Amino acid sequence: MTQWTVLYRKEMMEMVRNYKFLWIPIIFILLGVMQPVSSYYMPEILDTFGGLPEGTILEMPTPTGAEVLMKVLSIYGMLGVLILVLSAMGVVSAERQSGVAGMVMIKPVPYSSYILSKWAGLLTITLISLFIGYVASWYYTSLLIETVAFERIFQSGVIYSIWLVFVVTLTLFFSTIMKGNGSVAFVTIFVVFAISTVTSILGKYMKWSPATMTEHTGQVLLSGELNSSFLLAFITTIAILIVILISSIQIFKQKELLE
Amino acid sequence: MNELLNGIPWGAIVPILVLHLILMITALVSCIREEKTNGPKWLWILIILFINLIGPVLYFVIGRRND
Amino acid sequence: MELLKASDLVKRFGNTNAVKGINFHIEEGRCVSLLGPNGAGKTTTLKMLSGLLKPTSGSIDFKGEKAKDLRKFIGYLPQYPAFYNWMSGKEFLVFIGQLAKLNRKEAEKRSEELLERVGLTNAKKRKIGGYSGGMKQRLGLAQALIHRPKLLILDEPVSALDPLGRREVLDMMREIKEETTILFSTHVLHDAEEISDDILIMHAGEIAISGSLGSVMEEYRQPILQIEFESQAADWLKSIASYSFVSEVNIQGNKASIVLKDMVNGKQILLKDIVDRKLPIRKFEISQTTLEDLFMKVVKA
Repeated sequence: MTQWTVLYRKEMMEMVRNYKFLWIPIIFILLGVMQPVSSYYMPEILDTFGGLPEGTILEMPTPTGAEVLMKVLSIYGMLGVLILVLSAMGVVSAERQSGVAGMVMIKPVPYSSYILSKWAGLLTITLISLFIGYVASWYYTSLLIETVAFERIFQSGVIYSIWLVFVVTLTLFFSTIMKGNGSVAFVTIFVVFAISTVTSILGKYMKWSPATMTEHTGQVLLSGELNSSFLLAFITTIAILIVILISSIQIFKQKELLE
Repeated sequence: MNELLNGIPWGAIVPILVLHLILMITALVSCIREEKTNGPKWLWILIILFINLIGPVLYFVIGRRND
Repeated sequence: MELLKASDLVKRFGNTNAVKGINFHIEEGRCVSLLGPNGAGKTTTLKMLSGLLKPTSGSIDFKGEKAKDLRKFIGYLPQYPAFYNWMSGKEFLVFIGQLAKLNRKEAEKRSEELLERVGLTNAKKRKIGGYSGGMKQRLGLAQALIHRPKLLILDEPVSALDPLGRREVLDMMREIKEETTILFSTHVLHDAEEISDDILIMHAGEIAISGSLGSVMEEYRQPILQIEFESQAADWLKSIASYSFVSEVNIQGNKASIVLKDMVNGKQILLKDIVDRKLPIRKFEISQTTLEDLFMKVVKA
């Protein structure tokens, strides 16, 4: 077994022991099914508790299944991202703080194995949570609103996962270069927010931005077609991910462990 | 009101309630078994019990000591 | 045989020179203590030797060769060992063993051996979070030994322990030194005198004295006069510094230790002085300088 595998298995074991493998997927499921359920009940809730005068006809168009799922993804984009960042903020920094990172690196472990095992651990929990949550959301939408083709769900889920992978990779990076868990979360959220905002304001010039993944996701959901600029965004995102990972490894090498 | 209750697809709602319950119980078990939490333990137990969804999440993110 | 050689080792942090170009070597099979006051650069030196910290300049040779990654030859116990507190002692050792390139079976076997050896067999299934300081130190020792390192480096292995824990760890070190070379830092001179073969004394980023414990003691040993008074006699003690045969006077309350260049004449004159002045003495003893005296001399110089 390589050292990378040993470290990755340790990450998995840790996430089982500290219940991350339970609570993060559950949150994603709950966030995912809330939207179809509330869309379904909205007219009735208004009808029953809204106190509208007798005879008022509610002009509330029922959203399509794809629209509901888009809402779900935008919730993942806010609350899901927040939870992923908060749960991943200490991934390196906490181990540096406690000194246990030094205890690991004192054995002949490649610095890249350490960082990449952390990364793989983050990807595992992120992708599992997104997948389970999104499928649950799709199931509820089909049950309560209307059926959406699974193919679209699959495609949009894959594209959306690229954005979440980008977010957790960024978290890993800041967790490597900074020490305080709180500041890691704050800076990551800030950067993610800044990238999204700039991308949506300067859309024309930002076709390469990783944040466009959320737009491509919507496109696929609604029309089933991929926008032509997807490939560009995909390639730059992968390139940025590689650069972030390499710099994380290099910076980690320079850090003084065991102070 | 009755119509509303009858119309509820329980098959869809029950799993949601069960997940809420699992989340709360996991957080409670973790909190009670933990030797020390960030902040008073009794307060965390109250937060987990009475703030739906957010309470357990808050506990896992900031209440639990990850070391 | 020479196990490790450090040449012109320098470590700079920003503008401060923590280690200022030191040279020394460690013989295989010896137990070497690295002495020095806080801030002398001991930990920095040990970290460079362990491969965890890159020297600013200089080189470290291992068995006569420039080693690229020293970490596989070295077991290191940091001053404040940290663990995954959610793991059990056994789990941690197996994990660390696998990181040190043992396969799972070897790691399991070696962990059991070491747990037995450091007296943690009964606690092996408990979470490390519930271990006492002494237990953590012993687990730290076990993790350092897991891959049978050629050189065991221990940074202040006993300074944080209570007398009982300290005894345990020292006894373990005495056993370990039969099998492997040990380099440990300490500021407790008594420990160094007790178990080391060689000593290195560091001060302000430099090596002040090095050699085998016996030869260093021999070379730097000086006759010393210990006088204890019933009351303070500072005036007289200050005045005797002007005698040519007195090289150093240390005053501690009612006690004084005086290093003499010429014991034979010196003690006569001083004794006569005391009698003449009717100084009330309780004790007048002739002895040799200890490691502590040597250490104090180096640090004050």
